[in-house]
Amino acid sequence: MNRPQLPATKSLQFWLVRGASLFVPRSQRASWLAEWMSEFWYFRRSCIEDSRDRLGGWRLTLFCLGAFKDANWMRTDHTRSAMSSFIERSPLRLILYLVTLATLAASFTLIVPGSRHALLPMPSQDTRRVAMISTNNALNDQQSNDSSFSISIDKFRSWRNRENAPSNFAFYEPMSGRIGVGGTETETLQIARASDNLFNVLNVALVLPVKRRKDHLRSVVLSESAWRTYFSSNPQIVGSMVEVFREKAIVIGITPDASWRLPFQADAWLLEDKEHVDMYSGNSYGYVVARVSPLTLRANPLGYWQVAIPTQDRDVEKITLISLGRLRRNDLHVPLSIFLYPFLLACLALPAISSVSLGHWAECTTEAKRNNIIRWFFLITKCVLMLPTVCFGTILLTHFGQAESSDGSQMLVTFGSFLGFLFAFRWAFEDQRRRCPRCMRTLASPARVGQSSQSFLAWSGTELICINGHGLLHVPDFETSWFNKQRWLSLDASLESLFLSDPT
Amino acid sequence: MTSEGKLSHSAAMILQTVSAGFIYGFSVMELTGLASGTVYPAMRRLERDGLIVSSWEKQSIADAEQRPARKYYKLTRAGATTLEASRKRYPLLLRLVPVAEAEHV
Repeated sequence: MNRPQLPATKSLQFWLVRGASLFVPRSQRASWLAEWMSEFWYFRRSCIEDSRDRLGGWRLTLFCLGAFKDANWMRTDHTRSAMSSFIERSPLRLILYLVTLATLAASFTLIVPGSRHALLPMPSQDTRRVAMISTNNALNDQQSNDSSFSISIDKFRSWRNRENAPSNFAFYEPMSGRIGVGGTETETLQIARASDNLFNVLNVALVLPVKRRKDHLRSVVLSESAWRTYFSSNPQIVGSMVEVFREKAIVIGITPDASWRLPFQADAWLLEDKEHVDMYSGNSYGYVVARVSPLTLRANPLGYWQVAIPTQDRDVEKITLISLGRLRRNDLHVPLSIFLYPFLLACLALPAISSVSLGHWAECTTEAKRNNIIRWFFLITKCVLMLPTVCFGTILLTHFGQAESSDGSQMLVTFGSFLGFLFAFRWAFEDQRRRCPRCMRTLASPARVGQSSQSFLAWSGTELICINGHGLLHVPDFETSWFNKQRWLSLDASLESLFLSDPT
Repeated sequence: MTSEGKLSHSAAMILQTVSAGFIYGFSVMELTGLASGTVYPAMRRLERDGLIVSSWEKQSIADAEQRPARKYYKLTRAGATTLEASRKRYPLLLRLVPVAEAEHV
């Protein structure tokens, strides 16, 4: 290719063309610029030669501004890969693409641990009423961790019958050991030795529960993962006798992994009655969980309470109860119901940012009505498939956004999902308007028609065509009283011979 | 190449103009009255679809006349077929740009 000489005058228009060239992909820039500079030279000469043309400078500027449109077309055409064209044109491929997107978003949310927890239920049905007890004021400890709640069994025993002490509280001690079943033993498991009211205090329902009898002094609750790993998901294990720490115990149920988010991740819980708990060594350390009364909860809804318990030597001991809700306030927890409000709000706000009309289709035949149903069905399918993508996407973004509190996270999820729904629906409507109402394929070959300055004589806007030859779509540049919506012009079937049978 | 006859009116008009011998962008603009922002992208689209083909004028010719070389466009065989189909669809095309004006360049 021979490069032309560049115009000598470095006018504003010259720099406009040079500026537009920056939008052209690098590989095509030289050739593009060469053509535009050549055309610029001829256009400029034409303007200068025509001395009667007082608007020559203005015409030259308009000519050069067209370079931006051309450059933009070059970029769009370059970046619009064959894949995106492949996806967008066919309605089925678009649906498949949206399903894949939703699946990917759901998979990532479930794979990333923090975001997965967001979807899991909280460990207790009422996290505000279940509290951990601390003797060293874990509330003021900015770095409060599991050890802040470690309490000796002796203290637990001494509190049990004191005044002011929480009436409903349980103790558990982290240990490790094996569980023997029918002469065989599992490998060493994390076992929490606990008072038998632990799951009542937590108000956690067991899966496959077995009713405890009075002679069941010791019972075992298995975690779901341990049940699957070490007992081959055998439902018969529930209700059978096992051996834990060389003593018999009955398995009374299984608890879902997600339902336990207290300190110490146990594979099994050995629940023992009061007599057994009293026999624990005085050096044992564990955790105490209490259930606060509704009255106490009302006294301080912030989720922490300080209680003075009189000791035997007529002194008082201060303990702090911190609700699970407060302890886990930094955890992202997103109940699915949280998306309902932004969803409704986005539906209401949609007309403010986009037209919800699908345009004017001048057909009233039975086939047109059938096409109309298909069109709306396709639109609704797109909107529905965008919902999981937005929901899971906002959970992932909020998780990586590291909000400072659970409330902040929920605010982010609400606001993010509102924006997500809004723009997803907007895209769904805009995409729908660019499709042929008969075959649902994306319309192609957009072409500018008319000029805005001549709008009183004729319409100006964009004309698109269905590559299957079903018709033409006329989209006005701006709404007028005689052309306020895009119009579809059906082409007669006799013209179908002009189109390829399979244009993909 | 894409399907025959799937041209919009503007694209068909540009194709007809090129066929009539107005073989560079500026002349197409002058004859059709379309803006540069419409003509050049449309010509690129036509070239991408194989309906027209471009080539640069010899530098020596341009140098002799002390002007920059031009990029010329020419109708391909597929373009001619498509134009024939478009003329049936847009009968006024021939009146707008008569082929006799081919001598213009």
